[in-house]
Amino acid sequence: MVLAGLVLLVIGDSHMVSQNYLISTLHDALVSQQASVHSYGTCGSNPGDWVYGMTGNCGQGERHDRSAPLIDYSQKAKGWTIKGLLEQHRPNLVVVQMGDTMAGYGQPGVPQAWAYGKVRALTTALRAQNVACIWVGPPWGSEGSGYMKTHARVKEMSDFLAKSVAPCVYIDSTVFSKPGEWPTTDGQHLTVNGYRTWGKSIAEAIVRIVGEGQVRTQGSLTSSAAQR
Amino acid sequence: MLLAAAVAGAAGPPRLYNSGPARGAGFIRIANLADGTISVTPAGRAKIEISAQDAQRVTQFEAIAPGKIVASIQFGGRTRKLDIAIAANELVTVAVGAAANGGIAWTVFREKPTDFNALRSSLALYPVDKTCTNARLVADKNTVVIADVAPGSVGRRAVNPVKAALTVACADKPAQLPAELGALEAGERYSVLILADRSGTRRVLALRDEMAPTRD
Repeated sequence: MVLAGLVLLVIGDSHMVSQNYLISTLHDALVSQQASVHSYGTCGSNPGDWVYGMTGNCGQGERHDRSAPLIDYSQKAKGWTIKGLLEQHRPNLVVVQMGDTMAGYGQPGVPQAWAYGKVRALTTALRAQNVACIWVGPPWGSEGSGYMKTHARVKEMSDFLAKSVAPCVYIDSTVFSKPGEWPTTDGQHLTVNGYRTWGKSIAEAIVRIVGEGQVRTQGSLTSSAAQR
Repeated sequence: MLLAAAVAGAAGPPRLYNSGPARGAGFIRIANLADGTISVTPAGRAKIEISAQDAQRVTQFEAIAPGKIVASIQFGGRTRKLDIAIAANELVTVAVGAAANGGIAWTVFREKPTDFNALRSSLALYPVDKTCTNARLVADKNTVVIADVAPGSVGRRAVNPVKAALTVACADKPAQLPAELGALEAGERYSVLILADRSGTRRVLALRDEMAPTRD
């Protein structure tokens, strides 16, 4: 078990906020690998929000190891900053799940310059702490909803992220299913079965990436902390 | 209210939220190429002073909602109104300097880059000097990185993040001027501006692009 003994910090958007979403399925899959896992989700957040902070959101959740998720739908919560979470948990590996909140659904194209600035804000903060990271892109979702998500835009956004998230290693979620294969409840968020399959697929990819040594997970934050 | 969601069954999905700025985002920055501080007062906002020190001449790119930007620019006791439109995904650089008659002049550079790549470095060449035709950016004396850029236009190219001795040249002067950027970093974007001072002496301003933090 390549994740055994590692401290993993998982952050994400609304896909991480509700019971039976990734805060349940991905978290459980990583804990089953004997990792210590701390998961945080902030609805509607983009990567910049985890650097500069939020003034409010559409719900947030957190979960620690084998405890139950703590969900706050008050919309008054202000999320977390990556700086604070890194100091609190000192993870060996950070997993970032974000993409849908930057894809510009309903607009002519991905707002590339804006999205690149947001992605770079977070990857720069992670690199400054010398912490290994993996970035999980968006799933296909369903077309024709209020979110105006389309398969073409998801593909465009995923390709954009694949080029933009280094030094994080990118996990392309679109390879885990065919377009439309995972039903959604609202166009954006998957059904319980979908989150179960997505979470399992992400965890398997993380195990493979760590096992292949694509990310350096040993002593990353510990060594940088010792230098402070 | 903090809920411990310990029972099975999906909670209701979060309310709809934006997947980026509601109308997209454009970006603007100001380059002060004058020989003194300029003041910029965007409509409805506080005045910004931009130093003529090389390290501070160029502002960060600031995200704005696409549309018209109106601002008052002051320099040397003169005032001129800037009124330009910026489109979604457009990066606009307004290079402000002194006009020959002592007034305020500017050149507006526009681009919609699509070369964002965290493994590469992106170099851009901005010939502000109107006498600099066929501007080019050269690495290590003889490798042309960007060629044939007209005054007022932008040339851009993605390169590997390495340390290289960069120079610029124009059609009329074979002599090359150094553009000192140091070691290029992966994922970063850089600008090289070719200027002329009041006496017509050509020089180079080279910098790393910065995006202003936003909560949008």
